[in-house]
Amino acid sequence: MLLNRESAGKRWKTRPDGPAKVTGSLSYLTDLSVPGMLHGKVLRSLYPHARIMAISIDEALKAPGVAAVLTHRDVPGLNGFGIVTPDQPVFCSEVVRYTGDAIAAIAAETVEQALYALSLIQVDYEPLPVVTDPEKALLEDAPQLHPGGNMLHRTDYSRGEPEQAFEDCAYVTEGIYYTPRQMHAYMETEGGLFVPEESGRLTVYAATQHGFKDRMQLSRILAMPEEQIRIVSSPIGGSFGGKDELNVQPYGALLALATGKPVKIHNSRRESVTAGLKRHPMKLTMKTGMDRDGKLLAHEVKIVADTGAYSTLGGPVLNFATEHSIGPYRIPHVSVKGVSVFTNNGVSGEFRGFGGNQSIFALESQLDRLAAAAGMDPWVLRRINLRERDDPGPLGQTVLPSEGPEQVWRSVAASPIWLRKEQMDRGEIKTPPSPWLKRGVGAAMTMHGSGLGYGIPDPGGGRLGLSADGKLEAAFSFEEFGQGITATLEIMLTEMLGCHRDDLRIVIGDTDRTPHNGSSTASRSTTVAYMALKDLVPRISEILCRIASLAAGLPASELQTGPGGVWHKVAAGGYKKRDKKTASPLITYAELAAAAGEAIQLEADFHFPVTPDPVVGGHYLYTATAAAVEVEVNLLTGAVSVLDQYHAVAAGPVVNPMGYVGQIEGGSVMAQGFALFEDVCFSEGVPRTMNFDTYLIPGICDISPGFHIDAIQELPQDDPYGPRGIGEVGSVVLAPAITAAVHHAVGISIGKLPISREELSGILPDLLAEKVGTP
Amino acid sequence: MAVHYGKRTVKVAEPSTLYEAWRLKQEGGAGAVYVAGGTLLRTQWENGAATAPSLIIGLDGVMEYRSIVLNANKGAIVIGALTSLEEIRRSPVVAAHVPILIKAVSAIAAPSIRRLATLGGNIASLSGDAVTALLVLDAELTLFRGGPGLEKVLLKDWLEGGECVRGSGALVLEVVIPIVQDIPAFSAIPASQGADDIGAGSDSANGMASAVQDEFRSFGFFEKLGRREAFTPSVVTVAAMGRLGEKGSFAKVKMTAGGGAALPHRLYEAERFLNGRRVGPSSLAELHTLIMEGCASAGDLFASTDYRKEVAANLLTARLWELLKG
Repeated sequence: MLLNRESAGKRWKTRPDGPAKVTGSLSYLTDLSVPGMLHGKVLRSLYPHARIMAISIDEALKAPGVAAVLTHRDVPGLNGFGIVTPDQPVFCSEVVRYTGDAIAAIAAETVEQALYALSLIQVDYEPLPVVTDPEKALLEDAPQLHPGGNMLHRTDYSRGEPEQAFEDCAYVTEGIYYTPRQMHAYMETEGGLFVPEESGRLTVYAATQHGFKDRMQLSRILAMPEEQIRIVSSPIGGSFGGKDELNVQPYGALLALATGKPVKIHNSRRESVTAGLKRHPMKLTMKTGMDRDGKLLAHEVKIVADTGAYSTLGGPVLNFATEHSIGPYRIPHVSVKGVSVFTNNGVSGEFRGFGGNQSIFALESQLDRLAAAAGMDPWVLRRINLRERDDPGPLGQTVLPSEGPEQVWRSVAASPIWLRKEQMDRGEIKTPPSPWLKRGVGAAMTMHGSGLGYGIPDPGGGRLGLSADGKLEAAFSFEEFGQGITATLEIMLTEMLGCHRDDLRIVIGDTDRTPHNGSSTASRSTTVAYMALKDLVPRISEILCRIASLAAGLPASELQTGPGGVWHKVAAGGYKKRDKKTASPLITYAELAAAAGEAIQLEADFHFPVTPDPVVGGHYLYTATAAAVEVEVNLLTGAVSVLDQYHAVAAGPVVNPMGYVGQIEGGSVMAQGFALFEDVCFSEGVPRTMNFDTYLIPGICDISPGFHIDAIQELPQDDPYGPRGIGEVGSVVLAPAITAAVHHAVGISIGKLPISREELSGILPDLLAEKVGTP
Repeated sequence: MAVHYGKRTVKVAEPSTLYEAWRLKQEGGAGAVYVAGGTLLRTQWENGAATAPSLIIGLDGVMEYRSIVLNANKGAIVIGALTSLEEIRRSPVVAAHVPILIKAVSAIAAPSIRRLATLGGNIASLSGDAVTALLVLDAELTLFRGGPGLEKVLLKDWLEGGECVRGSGALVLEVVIPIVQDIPAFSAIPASQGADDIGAGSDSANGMASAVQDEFRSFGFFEKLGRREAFTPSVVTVAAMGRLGEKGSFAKVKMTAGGGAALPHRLYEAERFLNGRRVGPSSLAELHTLIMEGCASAGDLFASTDYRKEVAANLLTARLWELLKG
């Protein structure tokens, strides 16, 4: 179904947080202030790699308004953080490894006083050689950044005998692909408010995508029991993975505990760019071969990821890149070797697509090059090699049967944009009037894993009940960072319970008030919410109808939940209305709560669906997606404009049509930036694009006028998991579709993103001489 | 009043007269900086591209230089230096007489910034995108140097003359843009300029036969390539004005290129090549080479010098090719 406002009809719902966001009245956590609070600032390293010889804070301590100056000496617990391996120091004591490394933190009465005091801290550095090239970092004589060396993680997957199989190939293509260090570019920079409570507890109001994980990490740093820490982590002004890891929380928490006063920290954009995570730049070397009929035989991949100074999720990102470098294709002989390497280039980490974006760009480009070499239609080549419903996953693991790849393939094959390509190829479409404007169409596809993958704890669940004040209360440990989880929960609940949105209270992003049902990452939340509510809704309905049955003297089987309370149902469904105008529930939720005498709370608890096979990081659920785009290349400048795009997404039933469209549109804009503009430039370990005046992301004028989404809702019969996550799939196939379209337009194969205009532009007189007559 | 820039506290003075502003600058020396809209200076201070000043001399109070006046007697439009880019963009007078200036200011930054940024500031930055357009318009600046009188200098001379012409502390007060009227070309082309290059004519594009005299029409355009479609610093800006005869000969052509950190400049060799010549495919190629040779671009992280030159030449040549094609 083409999904848009019209086709969604009544299901096109204004998101609950929409009006406050549009009018600007919504208060983010970084908007919070309390009387008497202090302001925190963090001193970060001047050098990308240096030894710290001495740190002197004496002058800073004497500065006006200063309440505390903290360094590595003031960390009561573990001086380190990192979701997997806590190797990033809260405060550096001996060595700094990137320009975002923290050395000290100050709390003062005003931001200006804190900044002034920062300037008084004396740090003596001895600069060390800077490691900027991940391949050189692996050489023996390279400076070593960590006790264990410069290699964070290695992957190695193989099946068959690729080396031999290449000998049987009629066509072999070899390519090297480079992807950029993309920045999340959220509107709200990292920050929050940290409040020491009278009870001795600490409340942290700061964005994260996994509140319980922050609680665990802060507990380690502060040497404080987890129960003594409350994390309030929603709403968030954008994250895209960038706020999944700790950022300012250790400093805010330590300063608040040291001073006994609330402390606010809010990164400037410059601080955010310097200290924050980025997408892993990767170099992917691929050799792919097929037989004369277009059947893929062998595929060899080498991945080198620049993970920057610290681990965070660099390992899992490489696992994901490894898995997704094989794609939804049947390839008998495969070898993938990946390595993630420490450098002094900032810190790379979690980012929408999670390593898939890089691999999919390279793999899909390889298939296009093979098709071109063999003179085949690139989309037909994919069909020949497409996996089937019950095939194992990319790493040979058992996966849930899925027809998604075939569904999205067919959708794009029949899309207006792809048909236009065929017309172009037959010369049936008029070319633009200017000889330097060239148009082309390209497409790409993938299946993208959801959930954290085999071997990583991935708890699911949720809570649903009736509160003492008569609200249907649902609690999940998710965060709302714009992806629309609150709207999705509201729609699921109103549709499953038949209630009104005003009957609901949705509680998220608060470790004191929600059960632990995992992170808001990895395209997992929608599936977790659906699985939890599928379990919880019948249970709560039964309890509510039973209480109503006692109160109303009617059999519970004749009752059902509805707007405002429990209603009498008729055989045909709907509500028995004594009088249409005064139709009302038999008993309201408030009356039910009073009758129950206490709050009712039901919990669901399960693990996110995972493959039974011990393939670390391997996924069980996938969302298939494909995109076709039409581009125009201006050869005068090399600029690429995206004119039209079509996305096919096979993610099961559409829960929230507006949110679905928003996710695919937003993801695709991000992918367009990845393909055409974005790269945080570093020279000698120092970032050069420090703000949005040099780091450019696509603006509204860059977005294609045409945007079409085919939401494929059909799942195999008895599929138990319902709607799949779509938070990432909008961002993973657009880049290779764009480069394919550029190739179709001008015949140039792109190996490096963002696309260099200098590679595409031509010399006008040459263009005129070749392509057109005299004026 | 005071504002903070990083660790520095910066004083802000708000003079209401030109003389007061001048005096503050003389007293403050290098640490005192005139600020009109402040949109560019602010980013330079924040990025460390310029040292944050100790004194900001806010010019907003000097209101008399915030206007757009059509001076029919002088055949010129006079724009006060404190006029915002947005006021220029919306001005019917500017639209009627110098549309390429509208095109240039419309391509600068975003609406909120155009409401603060001034034409004077764009010129004082030396590399402003409007400068590329003003250069082909033969704009003249009115300067104030503290003396009793005002000084007039051609924008071209002001840019080309370097610090010895611009001096320190001079305030740009007005931009005077002459209005060009459409004049038949035979009176407009000096006899010395290759009249014999203009061959005997075929029928003109619009079907009106012109046997002996060539009918000239004026043209002008401005093009900007940014790193994205809107709200972007320029990579390349080009502008041209001149006259094109119905038989394909050019006259009175002026061309400029700028963009990025480059000072916008005239492309004299290319202009000389074009003026009085009938242009065919081979001469377009020659013109392209001359433009590239005449272009003084400054490469940076995002675009190399050679690329900028090539794009400048492409944009100019392409627009001329389109003009010739009719």
